[in-house]
Amino acid sequence: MSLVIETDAVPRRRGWRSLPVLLRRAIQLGLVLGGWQFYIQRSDVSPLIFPPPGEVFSALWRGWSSGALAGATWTTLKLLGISLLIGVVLAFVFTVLARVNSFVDDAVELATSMLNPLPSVAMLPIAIIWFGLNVNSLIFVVVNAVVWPVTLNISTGFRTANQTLVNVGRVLGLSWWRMVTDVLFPAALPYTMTGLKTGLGYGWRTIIAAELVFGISGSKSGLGNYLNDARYFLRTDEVFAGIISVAVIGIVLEAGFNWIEHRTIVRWGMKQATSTIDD
Amino acid sequence: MNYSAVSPMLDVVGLSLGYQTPAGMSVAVKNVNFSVRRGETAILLGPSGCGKSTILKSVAGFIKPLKGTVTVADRQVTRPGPDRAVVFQEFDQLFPWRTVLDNVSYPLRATGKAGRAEAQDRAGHWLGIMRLEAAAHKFPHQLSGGMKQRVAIARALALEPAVLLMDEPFGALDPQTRLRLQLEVIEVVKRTAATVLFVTHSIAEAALVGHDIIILDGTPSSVVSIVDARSVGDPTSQEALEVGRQVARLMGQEASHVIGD
Repeated sequence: MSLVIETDAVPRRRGWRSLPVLLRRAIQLGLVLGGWQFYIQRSDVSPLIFPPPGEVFSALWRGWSSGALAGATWTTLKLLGISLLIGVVLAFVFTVLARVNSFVDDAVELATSMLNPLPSVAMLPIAIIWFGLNVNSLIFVVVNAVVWPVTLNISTGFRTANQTLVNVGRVLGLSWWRMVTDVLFPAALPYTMTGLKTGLGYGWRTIIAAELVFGISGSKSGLGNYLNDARYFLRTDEVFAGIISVAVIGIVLEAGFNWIEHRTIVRWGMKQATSTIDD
Repeated sequence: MNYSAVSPMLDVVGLSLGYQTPAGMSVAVKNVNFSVRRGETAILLGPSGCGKSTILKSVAGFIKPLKGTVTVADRQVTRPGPDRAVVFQEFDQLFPWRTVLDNVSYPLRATGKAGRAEAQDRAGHWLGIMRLEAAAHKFPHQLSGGMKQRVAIARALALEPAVLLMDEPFGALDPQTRLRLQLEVIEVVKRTAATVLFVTHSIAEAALVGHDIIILDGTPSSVVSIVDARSVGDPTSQEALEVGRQVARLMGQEASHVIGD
């Protein structure tokens, strides 16, 4: 008779979870594509309404290799980058000024609470009246989408910064500016990253929506316009290719932020690597 | 009092501290007088909530006195400064985004005491004294509580403060680690001839670490007595027990509690 003692404290995973994550994703995607193809073959739906996956992928390939999709993506990402930069700089300035002056503090809080819940595409009509049908209108609405969630998060980060660290800074006799750059800003980084991710998500949604509206109004270039043009000429495969591109770029941007987080706040123990408890 | 025989490094005169409440001024500390000689360690000892940490914060410059003055190296304290480096009780007093070495060298750069290269050298030296060389390139979250406190002590000592302020630095540690760190601090303080103001509620710690034990009690609290603990050599000695008993008597506690604390 032998006694088997489980020495392994980590419970062994079985079944679906034991497969590598990439394989799990691939299988799930494969099921979606298979279901899609199966539906197209079994029904007599017109490819003009719902194209089969093969056609969508060839449209994707054509779009990216000819440069049409790549160019549209580049235009949109450039606009997003500019707006994100402006939004983040503004958010940082607002937060720092709010720390110096209590009137500004109140004003920023009021503006944030009023404008953060507002879908920034709602600002598009007034932006068009003010700036006309050009990129300035787009930048205006996207900056609006970015600046408020980022401000909200950075200022929360400043407010909740560990008081002991602030006191260490006071013992060192730091100037208010060094206190901001050397203590408060890094201490607020977990919040700032959350704000940036939210801002980026809002900005990305807003820019695609605003470009769709611009597409209707006749201005050309970005991913939203690409989608709208494809719809206009009933190139449904290209509509799908555009949507897939938008989704993939959203995932890539998110992954980029996670990469930055892993090299900063996760490495410094200011944020857990994962929020899920695997059992 | 014979403390003023030598010009003291830290001199607290007629210190009263309090805070504003809706009902009026609430006085927490009233007319406290004591001084600490150069190279000696004074203990502020008293029950929880007696205002000993408040006194330390006032010496650090975080709290303005209602009455009285705090003088460090012949200069009156008006605000926080690196001449009164503080070791806090909280483990999270280290900058999480800086390595251990960087946590010790940054204050030297920020206060203009050293350039980048020299700050690194000096930080390395102090890490050596606190036996932390192996942890130099780790981040604080990778360290145990005791190691974090040792880094905080190295950081404070590296500033070569006129007075080192320690606010229950070992209060959140387990007894074994606490004893080890107490002995280590005694050793380092002796080696570096640092002047220290040390807050604790542990009689054993007070008898072990201090030259003078300043006992606080009452509401608002004031100095009840000052016990000379210079005769105490090591924690197991008869003198340590004697001082502990004396302090306990003054604090109105059973002497039998002293050993277990």
